[in-house]
Formats: sequence, structure tokens, C-alpha cells
Amino acid sequence: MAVRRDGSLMRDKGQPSRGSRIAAAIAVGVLLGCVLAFLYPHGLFGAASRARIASISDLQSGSSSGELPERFNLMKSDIASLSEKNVALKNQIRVLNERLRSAEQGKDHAHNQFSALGDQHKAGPFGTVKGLRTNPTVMPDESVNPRLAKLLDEVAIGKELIVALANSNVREMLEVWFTSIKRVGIPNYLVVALDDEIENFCKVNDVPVYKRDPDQDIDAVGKSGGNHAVSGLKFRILREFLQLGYSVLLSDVDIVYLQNPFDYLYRDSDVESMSDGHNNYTAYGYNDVFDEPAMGWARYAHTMRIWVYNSGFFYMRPTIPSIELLDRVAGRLSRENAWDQAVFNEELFFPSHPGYDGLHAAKRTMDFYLFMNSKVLFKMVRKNAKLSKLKPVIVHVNYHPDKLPRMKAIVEFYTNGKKDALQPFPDGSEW
Amino acid sequence: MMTGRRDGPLMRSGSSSHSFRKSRIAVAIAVGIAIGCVFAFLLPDGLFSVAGPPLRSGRLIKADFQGESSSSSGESSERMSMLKSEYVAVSQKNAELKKEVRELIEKLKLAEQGKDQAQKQVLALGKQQKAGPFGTVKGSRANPTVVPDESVNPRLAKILEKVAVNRELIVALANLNVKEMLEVWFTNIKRVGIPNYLVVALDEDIAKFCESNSVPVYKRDPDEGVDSIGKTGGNHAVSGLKFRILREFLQLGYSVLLSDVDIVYLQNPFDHLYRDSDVESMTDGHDNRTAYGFNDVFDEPRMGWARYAHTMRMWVYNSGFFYLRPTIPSIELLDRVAARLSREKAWDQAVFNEELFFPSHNGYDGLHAARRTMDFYLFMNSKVLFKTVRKDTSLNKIKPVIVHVNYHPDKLPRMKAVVEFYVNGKEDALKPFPDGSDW
Repeated sequence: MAVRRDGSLMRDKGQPSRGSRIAAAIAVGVLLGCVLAFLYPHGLFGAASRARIASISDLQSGSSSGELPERFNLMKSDIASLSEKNVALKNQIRVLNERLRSAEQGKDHAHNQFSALGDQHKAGPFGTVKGLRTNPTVMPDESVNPRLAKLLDEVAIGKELIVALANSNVREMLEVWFTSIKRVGIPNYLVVALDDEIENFCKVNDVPVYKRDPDQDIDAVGKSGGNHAVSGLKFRILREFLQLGYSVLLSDVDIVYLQNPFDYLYRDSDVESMSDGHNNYTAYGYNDVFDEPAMGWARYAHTMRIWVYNSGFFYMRPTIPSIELLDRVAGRLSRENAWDQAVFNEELFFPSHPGYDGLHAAKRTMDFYLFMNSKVLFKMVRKNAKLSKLKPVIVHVNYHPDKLPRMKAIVEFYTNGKKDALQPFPDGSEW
Repeated sequence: MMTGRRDGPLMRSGSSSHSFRKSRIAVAIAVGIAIGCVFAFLLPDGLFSVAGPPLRSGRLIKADFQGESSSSSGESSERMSMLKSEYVAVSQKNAELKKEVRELIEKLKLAEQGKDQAQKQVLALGKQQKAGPFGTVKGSRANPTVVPDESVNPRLAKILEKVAVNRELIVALANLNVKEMLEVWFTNIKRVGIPNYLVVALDEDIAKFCESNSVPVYKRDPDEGVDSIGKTGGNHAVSGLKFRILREFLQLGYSVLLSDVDIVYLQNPFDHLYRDSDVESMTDGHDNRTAYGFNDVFDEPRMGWARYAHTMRMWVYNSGFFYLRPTIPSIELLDRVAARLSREKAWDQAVFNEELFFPSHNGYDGLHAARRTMDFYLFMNSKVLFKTVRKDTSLNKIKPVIVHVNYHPDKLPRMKAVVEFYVNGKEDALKPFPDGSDW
């Protein structure tokens, strides 16, 4: 038998069995290899990513053989999907932090209340005494308005919500108002419709709306009243909200929302309100020294002065002093011909004196850059490179009569990034 | 003769020819595995794509492979390593973020639990009430008093027990500098017949002076900080002291009517107090608006439609005459003022008012104390007297409760004139004095 030494693949005429055996051997080897390739598609060693990285580094080290764009793309898409996950996680973290802050706030307030209202105790040592500012809330009383109670149960979040009063006079502003609220993603807001037209308008636009049961007085003013008259109504309407145990963020309709205000509230006072002031002195209070030279040695008289709270944007907790405030303002407005914002502030600020018992309500002034009035915006912020980069929480077009165009311009500026959107407007206004 | 086994190619045969066959078979197997590995290499995701991106066809890969390999292998490997490190960074961040989320969820659970518990505790106090109907709701202004704590100063507690009436009294701080004014001060108090008053003597001389005149006096235990100011300080420095000294009085459960020594008493102030607030104070104002608060409209014509800005304005409370109830907010007020005076160079009356008046704002928690402004005709400051009242025939018939010579530096002569005018009926006693003063 002559044995060929050429190679195993050489057919040997005389022994077809050998050839076929060799072929079989090869086939088995290939099969084994394929099976292994199938079972361990990422290589025989290690987990997917490691193997990937390993295979990448293999590629790198063996770069003489070049890279595979396919691996490139795989890698890129992995990175992309992980980045997306990171964004979602960051969002989740933000939401969790807000909820955490809110829970801590609530806990602190409750602790303060408990220690202040609980058994009387001795005063602590110097520097440790802290009176209570966060009054306990009233017991909710559903019977005052069961229909409203049901509605608030659905709309409110954390027993608080934004409330606006509107009649058809302000329809266009209202539209900008709720569009901005929706864009920011604030779910807990409600329009108190003062006429049917506005009620329908809200329903058509998917805006939570509440129409009161008919009431002669309120409806007369509500339907036909100008902005001051309607403004006065709020002090009567809001009472029920507080009695039902809800905190109300009262909002005028000439306000553009850029962030969620609920993320910025302290909730530690009866009234937390935005200011008509335009700097730290006017907004937060200062000693306005009065000079009377004729008095000589005592020519300087010291006075406490603060710009008023804007009664178009304030947060009220459902406490006894808050309800008392509403009643006082509503009572005075029914007796005097006065501006509701003036009365609101007088009741909040003036102490008791002969013949007058003052209201005792805790107050907090909102940051005037975050809760911005339009004087601050148009006189100052828009002209200042740094300040104009700040994103307010809201902008209230209170200092100007041409509210709708200014509101739209504000949206263009802050939301759509149009840097000269505010330019056409003068600091003040002609009429 | 070779008997070929037909068991299989891997079967060993006995002879050298077997070893030859073995090696051929081994080579065959090796080649087979090599081909299999080539398959594994070229099609890493298996012959049938299971997970991940769709399989590129071998042809396509080959084409790309051939196209790029020659020129850009160096550049691509750089890109590849960048991608690799980016991937690693992103995965790490992912792991960190997941951990943070887990921790936050835990924290949130605890915080909400804590909040619920605390809120339940508050409810359990049973103080929550429903709000009454329109016009009936009235918040409380008179805060509860603290539980008296004798241990803060047993010696003072004993004195107060004897001197106070209805747990309240007039308190004045005095050092030798103001001896003459102090004399006018207590002479009038005695004349009106007010028994509950006390002088806090800041030095030995004044203490002796009081004792020799049968004036209730209290000399504190020595205290470096207080005494150095007390002995030598001018009126502003001494004035600041009161906010530290009065604390003990309140802690002992006494209401204090703090009085400067440049005050003439014409009636018993305790008959005219409301006692419904934490702080009840006289004002530096001179009419209803300045004394009780008014809307001081600020005009800025350039603003056009909104030229008028409304502001709340009120003349300050006079920190030389005020009634403090022994409540938590009152004690907090004293602490706040005392602390600020120790940190800043400021006038105590300004600080007193700022703490009383300014609401909370960014970075500042405001004091929440109930305030009442005393009637400015009854608790009269000297500007009201000399600029207005003495010239008005109806007003000058009103008998004030006190007259405070705060607006003038020549206090002693004016105090004596006030006594002559109101007590001894000398109608032109006040004439020699100008409305204001030259120095």
C-alpha cells in the first residue's frame, strides 16, 4: 500500500474511506467551530461589554488590520442609549429632590407648630428662642362647597394649586397664561370663570375650570367689571378654597410662567407674596430717613418703608389669619371705594392702634428677581447682560397697560430665545 | 496487512502508519476548528442575529474593511479609543446616577414618614378649628406667655415679687450720667402714685442714690460685658444694653414697661395699656399717618401709566418706651436685637424696628410678633408737644399719660418745664423753648 504524504485532503484512490474520513474530520471540526461561534457569539471569554471592550482593544492592538466601523457604530449607539438613560435618571433625581425638599419643609413646619402650640414651656437660653411663623391650618370643612371640594380633590396636588379669576375681557391674556403653564408642565391650576364664555373657552382648551353657583353680587361685578373691580372679587371667592383646606397661589392673568412656582415657595408664612419693589430696599423694607432740618439735633426721623405686596400674585396658606385677611379686605371693599391692592397691604402691614385692631399674619416677600414685576424687567433686567440670563419663575406685566404684547414678547425672549424680543418696548408707557 | 478500523477517523490505529494517520486527522480537525474560528471572527453575533444591531453582511464588512484600512487606521484607532473612554465615562455616570436615585428614594421615604408623624402630632393637640363664617374669624394677637423660670435669676425673682403689681412693672436703666433726669423721673412716678417701678442701676452711685431716695433698685451681679458699657457708656450704648437685661424679666414671667429716664409721668400708664400684643410701643410719629402707618405713594413720572408706586410707611417705634409681654416672640425680639447690636455698629432703635417691621424674605426669617402703637397724644413725644400741641388751645388741654423728651438734647430743662406746665399749671412754662434745637 503506497501511502501518500501530500496531505490529508488528498484523495487516495485506493482508500476512499480515508478521504471520506478526513472529510468527515474536517466537517466535524468546522461543525464544532460553528457550534462554538453560535454558543459564544461574543467570544469564549467574558461578559458582553467586557468582551466588546476586549475585542475593541484587540482591534486596537491589531490596528494594523484596521478598525471595523461596525464596532464603531455599535459603540456609538450604546453610548447614546446610556446617555439617554442618564438624562432620564437626572430628571428623576430632580423630581425626587423636589419631593424631598417639600417633605422636609412640611416636617419642619409641623415640628415648629408642635413645639409652639403644645404645652407651654420655659424660654430657652439666649439665641435659641424662635417664635412660630407657620400657623396651623384650619380643619377642612367640605360642607362649605361640596362641588368645589370634589373639583379641588382632582386638580390640586399636595393640597395646593394656582387659581385665577377671568372673564371674557381677558380671554387673550388668559390664553397666553395657560399656554405658558402647560408648557412648564404645571398640572395643578384652575380658572374661576366669571362668565359662560370663558368657561367654554377653558373647556375647549382643556383648562381646568370652575364656575361658581350664581350669586347676584359677584356675578354683576364679575361679568362686566373692569380689572380693578374683578380684582376685588378674589377676596370673597378665595375664602372657600381656604376653608376647604387648600393653599392657594392666586395668580392674575397677566402673568407668564417660566418655571414651576411651587418649587420655589417657602410655605412658612400665612401670606407669601411678590413685591412691587425693584431692589433690595424697596422690595424687602428699609429705613427711609425723613429729614426735617428745622428740628436741628433731631432732624432725622426714622421710618420703616416697604413697597407694597402685589395682590395679583400671592400664596396663601389655609390658616385663621389668612381667612381673616380675606374677610377684612372684602369687608372694607364693600364699604369703601378703594383699590384692593392698597387695602390688602394696609391690612397686612399696619399694627394695631387706638380704635383699630391690626391683623396678626406672618408675611414673606418673594424674591423679586424670580417673581419678577415688569418694572424690574423693562427698566433693569433686560438691559443688564448678567441679569437677563437669569430665568425668572414668573413675569408679571403689572407695571404696564399694554399687557398682551408685552406678555407675548416675554415668551419670545425667555422661551424662544429671541434676544431682541423686548427691545421695542419703552421702560414705562405713554398712557 | 492493515486492517482499517471503521470506527471513525479519530480512532487510533496501532502502528507508525497509525501515527501518520493520527497526525493527518489531527490536522483535519485543526483546520476545521480554524475555519470555525474564522466564522466566529467574521460573524461575532452568531450566524443568526439575535441581539444588538442588525448584522452587516460579510460582503459589506469586507468592502468597508478594504476601503478604510489602508489610510486611516491610525486616526480611527484614536477615534476608537475616544469612543471607548466616552463609553466608560457614560457607564460610570449611569451607575452613579442609579445609586443616587436609590439613596434619594430612601431619604424621601424617611422624610415623608417624619412629616406625617409630625403633622399627626400637631393634629393631636386638638387646636385645629374650622373657620367660622364671613366676618367672624379673628386670629389671636395675644400670644401665650412663657412658663416662668425662677432659676434664671432667683435674686431678681424675689425683688420682682415684691415690686411688681399684676406681674408687670416699669423698668429703667440708669448710670450716674443721668442722675438728675432720674430724679425728675421717679419724683413724678411717685407723685402719680405708681408703686410698681424699678431702676436697674448700672453703677454703685446710682444704686445708692436710689436707695437713699426710697426708689426700688436692682443692681445686677457683676458682668464684664454689661458693666463696662453700663458704667461709662453714652446714652446709645446704654440703650442697647436693655435688650440683654430685660430678657431675664420676661423669662421670670413678668411684663415689662421699659422706660427711658427722660420721661415725665403725668398719669398711670398701666391704666391705658391694651395688653393684647407682644409689643405695645409709643411712636416717633407726629400725626395719624406717620404714627399709625400710611400709603406713601412714590411718583416716577417716567413710568407713565404706572407712575405711582404704593408703599407702606410708618414712623418708627420709640425703643425708649414700650410694653413687652413675656411671650416667645418678645424674647425672640430681645435676642435678635441684642445679637445684632453685638455684631454690627448700629442704633438700637433702628434695629428694634427693623426686626419688628420687616417681613421674611430671601435669606432672612422675619420675626412674627404682634404690635400695637400707643396713642401719640397720650404717650407723647416731644416733637408732638413742642411743634403742635403746645400751640393748639384744644390739644394743650389734653393731659398726656407720659411726655418723652426724645426729640431734644436739652432734656433736663425741658422735662422740668413739662412738669411746670402740666403739673403746676404754669401756662407759659414751655414758651422759652424752640420747636427744634440748635445742636
